[in-house]
Amino acid sequence: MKTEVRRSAVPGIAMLLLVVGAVFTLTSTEFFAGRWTQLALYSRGSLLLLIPLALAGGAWLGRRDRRSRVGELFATTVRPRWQRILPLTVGYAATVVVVYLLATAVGTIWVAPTAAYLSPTVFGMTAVGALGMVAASWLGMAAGRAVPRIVTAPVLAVVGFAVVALLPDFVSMSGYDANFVKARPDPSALLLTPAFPGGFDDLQTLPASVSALQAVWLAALAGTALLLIGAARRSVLAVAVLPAVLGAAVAVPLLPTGGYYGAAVVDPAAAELVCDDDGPQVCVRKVHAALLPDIVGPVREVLALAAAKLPNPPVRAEETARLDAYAAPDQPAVRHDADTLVFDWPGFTSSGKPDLGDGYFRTELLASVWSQECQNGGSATGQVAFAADYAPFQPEAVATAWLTGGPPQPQDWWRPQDQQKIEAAHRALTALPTDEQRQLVGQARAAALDCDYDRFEALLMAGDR
Amino acid sequence: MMRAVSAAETAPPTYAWAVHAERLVVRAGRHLAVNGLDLALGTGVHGLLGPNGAGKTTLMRALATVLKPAGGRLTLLGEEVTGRADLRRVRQRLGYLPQHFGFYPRFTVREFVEYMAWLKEMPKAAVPGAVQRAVDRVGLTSRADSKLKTLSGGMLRRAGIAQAIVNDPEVLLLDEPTVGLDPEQRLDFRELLREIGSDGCVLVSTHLVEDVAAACTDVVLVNEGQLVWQGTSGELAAQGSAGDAGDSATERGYSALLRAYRGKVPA
Repeated sequence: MKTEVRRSAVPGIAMLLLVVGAVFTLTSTEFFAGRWTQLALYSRGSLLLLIPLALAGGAWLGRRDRRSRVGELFATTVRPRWQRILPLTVGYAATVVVVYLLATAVGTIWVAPTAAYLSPTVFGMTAVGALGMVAASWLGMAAGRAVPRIVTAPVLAVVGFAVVALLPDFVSMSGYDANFVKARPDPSALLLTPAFPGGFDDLQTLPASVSALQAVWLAALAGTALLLIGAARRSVLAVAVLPAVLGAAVAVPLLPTGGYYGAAVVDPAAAELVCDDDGPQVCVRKVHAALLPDIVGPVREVLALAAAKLPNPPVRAEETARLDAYAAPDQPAVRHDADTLVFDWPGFTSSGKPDLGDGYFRTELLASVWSQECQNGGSATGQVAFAADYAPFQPEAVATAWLTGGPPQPQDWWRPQDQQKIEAAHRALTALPTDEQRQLVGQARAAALDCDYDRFEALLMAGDR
Repeated sequence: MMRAVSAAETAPPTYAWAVHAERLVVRAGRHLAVNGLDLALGTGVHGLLGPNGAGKTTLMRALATVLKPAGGRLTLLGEEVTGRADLRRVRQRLGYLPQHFGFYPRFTVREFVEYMAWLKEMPKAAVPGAVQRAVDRVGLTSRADSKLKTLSGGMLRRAGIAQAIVNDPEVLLLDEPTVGLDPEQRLDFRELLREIGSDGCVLVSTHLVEDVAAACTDVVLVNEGQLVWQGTSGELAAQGSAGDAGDSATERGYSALLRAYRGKVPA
């Protein structure tokens, strides 16, 4: 087997796959840095490229016997065909699995140092990705055997890309009606492709049951491909499709509808709160817990500002449990109390640290002082769910400027009239006696946390009129 | 080192002819390339002669069990191979060099011969020694670890012979083995043939009559899918007379026999 693999095109194909896989991993480390689940999912995303390449490589190998014209010679030998093809077939499959795992392993450099939580679902998701590579490599070899032409490999790469990358999108898009509202949920068959389209929140994962069903289907598909490669008689070719058909027949009815987004579940362990109590309490979700020390500072700074100036200020802060992703399900609004500041995770830099640059996180934290979950979110409305409703920006800018004690910070998307109104309202507010300022902003915050944004605006923008 | 000799090897053969064809019919596409051929070959080196399109390659392919005979009876090493026969036992004792010798170009000579030994289901322990011996016998010892794609045409041909003889076949079928060999290599090759032919049945298909004269004990002449003549190479030379076409006695004998056959069978 060693000789066969070494003297075949496998090393070249493996290099190509490894380079593509590793480059894919390295291009967007911020998508998975510090999170095992996201790394496993991101690797599954790399299958969008790796599956077409594994198919093409398989097709190239599958045509080896015809290219070398060894059929005549081998026809006189004793060993049955399936035994003859086994070393290369197994060797190629093992190689693509190793390549897939290596390309994933490259990502662990960005995950391991800052990951606090390893979900057991990670192993299932990775195993399914590896199985997907095996099925693709063998399907490619079967195709190369069936059509031993030089164009088979590139054509298969294109077709493979169309099937794993474009077809699910097309099916999903066809589920929308003319108003771009989802009229029909995505079929569960979209989960038959192991290539992950992206769009999970850090708190979500793919449940083990889905991985298990995907594994059943992909193993069956690999079995079909193996029969197609090894079959010496036509009768075997006829039954070769049976495993794949059976696998699909088992998996499709049991898989959840809605494709990957429908299959996503909140990982309760990932969503547990981990708190820092050395000072005002700051809590993040367990999936981000290793980076809690990095964000405690900016959060406590805002809490201190609020404590100094606001009546009934927030005394603790916690990361929101609301999902902010394409895969978010229906989420009823959950109001929080005035004593708690609920903030969004700042996101990751490509090196796996919280993204605190440019004071963006501080801006978000300040906005969180006036924010509340007011509207239900989720896919039922046909809208992408967002983490929180923010208060109208004009009064919010006034309130924030008052809280931080500086002039309103103009945003580049403000129109000139916005800026004039905000500045006028801010001047009017700060012209009031200090106690009145404090009382008025306190009332405005209470209104915002009651989701009464009209009152919030009326109170703060009064001076503008 | 002495090679262990098994009882099966030393047992006397239970068959009269290594190759025995009776009224053999083999199709090449729709065409009956071998059409009612009778042939019996024993130990020795047999040269298979005939004009292009005489059915030499088709006959070789049938003997190599690549093609299934469409009619008649074919017995190899005492085993019937027509119909739904189990070919395993015969194939283990066959060696075959096809006219178009296919190979994996990135394998070295040794690797490819080893691979063929594996495909022929030789016992694992016997493989390395057998491979070395086969490579030595064809004179490729110094190139044993070169990749096949780097070999010249003549060396490839010899590598092809090495894979054919690696299992010490009792029936060795060589289709046009001397194509691409230079004169010196051809001499070595004839030597090799004589050596192998001393204890097995070797059938060499060729259109080079002088190869037959020099290396073969017996000659089989076919035309239009049928046996024209069978005899020793000495007898072949005696068939011709000064008036026949050819530069040597053997060539003249060959032309005479063909002319006589064509005269008998109306075209």
